[in-house]
Amino acid sequence: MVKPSKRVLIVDDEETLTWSMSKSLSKDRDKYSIFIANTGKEALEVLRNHAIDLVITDIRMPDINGLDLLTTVKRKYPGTKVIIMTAYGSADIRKEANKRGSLYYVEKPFEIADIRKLILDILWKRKGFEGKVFDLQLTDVIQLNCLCRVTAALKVDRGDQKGLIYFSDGEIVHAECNGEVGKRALFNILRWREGKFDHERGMTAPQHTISQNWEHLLVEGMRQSDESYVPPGRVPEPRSPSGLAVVGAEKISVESPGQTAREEAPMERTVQSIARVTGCEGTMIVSETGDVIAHTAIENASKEAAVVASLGLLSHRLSKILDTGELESILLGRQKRKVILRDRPYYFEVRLKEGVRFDEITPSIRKALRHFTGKNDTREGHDEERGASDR
Amino acid sequence: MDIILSAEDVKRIDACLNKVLNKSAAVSAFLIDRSGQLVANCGSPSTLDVSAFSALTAANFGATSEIAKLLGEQEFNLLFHKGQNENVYFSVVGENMIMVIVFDDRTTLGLVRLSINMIMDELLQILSPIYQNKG
Repeated sequence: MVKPSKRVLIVDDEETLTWSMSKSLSKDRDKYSIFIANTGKEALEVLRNHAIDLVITDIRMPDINGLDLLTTVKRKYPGTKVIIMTAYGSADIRKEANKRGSLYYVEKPFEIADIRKLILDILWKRKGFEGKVFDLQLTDVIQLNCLCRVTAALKVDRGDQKGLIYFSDGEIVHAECNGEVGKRALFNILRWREGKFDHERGMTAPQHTISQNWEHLLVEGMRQSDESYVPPGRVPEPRSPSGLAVVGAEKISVESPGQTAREEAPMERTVQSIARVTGCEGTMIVSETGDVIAHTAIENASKEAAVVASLGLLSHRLSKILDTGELESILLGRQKRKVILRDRPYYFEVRLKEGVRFDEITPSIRKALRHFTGKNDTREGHDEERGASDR
Repeated sequence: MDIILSAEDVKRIDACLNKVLNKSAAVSAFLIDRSGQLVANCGSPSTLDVSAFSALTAANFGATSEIAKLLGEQEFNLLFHKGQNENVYFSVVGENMIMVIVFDDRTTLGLVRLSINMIMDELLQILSPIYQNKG
């Protein structure tokens, strides 16, 4: 019989348990070899002499604590996976085990069939390629994890700082960084521009602190990252006494010092993302005072912006007089139509291609806008419901 | 421009606005001339500031005409405000008038427009002689 290439080490001071476990697990002896140790020292000895793939260890042992054994294994044999088992489990111990790099945490008593399945999952269910990648963005790695629906911990190392992002079935469920947890930690990690990463496949999160959809989290993370990023050596844009800063060919209205860098990137990105909506021909963001904030494919943008702001103001007053509730959008046109969406303090003008229906396209535009405003727009359904036909 | 409407004209115009409301289940209907004067209304609340409303409607149309000019187009034939509770639809009636319809979730823009189209000829038949007599 061919000797199996994988090796599993069971560590527990209860000899009856290690014996019964090895007996039960021997059903899979064609898949992996089993080693037993009844003390921590014995376990280290086995690890020294054999290339162990997986260690299943108890916590309470007379000589070396299971958690300390875990730390040693992770330091000396980083490729070796560790499962912690204990009869005295608590949330704190679980958290500590995860923190030290335990892949799974199992509470006694357990079904041996579950352990068998777990071992096979860890040792044999790896499919695909392994290797090193370079020059990837952290967001690429995260997206890959999410799209592949993995359960893992992504360790990110920037040198001076370290972060952890946990995935469960492809969703980001927890993050830790500099003593912070949850979204704050995640967004902090996403701000880093370079570093190293490592995957702990199958590692479960010690707690769930994040519940948002991963796509939303990444977009928000990138937005925050862009806003906080100042390229090395870049001098802030000069500002005129009137409070207008020139960026590219367009003016950006500055409401308070330091706001230019915050506004520029999301505005440009929003315009681009609206322009990508099928059926849109051009788009423009206009301030309440009639200044062009950003635009694509709009001729006479500054003149049109002034009229859009006037129209917006008149329409707003009209809605007050008629008591129709807050003005949401204005649709106007003849053959070619345009929609002006109101999202204080801006107007978003979108030119529609000929024949495109207002009620069909508005939800997509609002979706693109949501990334900018960060609001969960509940008006989408409204537009769809109401729009029997606008022609 | 001042226009003179007979009692019979007013009655017929009111009947047209009523038809629009009945057919579309809209909340209120207004007929306003381009200079900002209210000609007729139907279903509007008594608390409405009519003069401010009429003037703002005319100004609103003026602003859309400016955008149309910038685009090198004729005057827009569609102007629609979507509000949180109610929507407002503006329709050009001939060369001199604007019809304003306020409606809510109980109906749709499509039905409102259809209802207006159904009475448009009748309304123009009433209004045309009035302006022709002026000219």
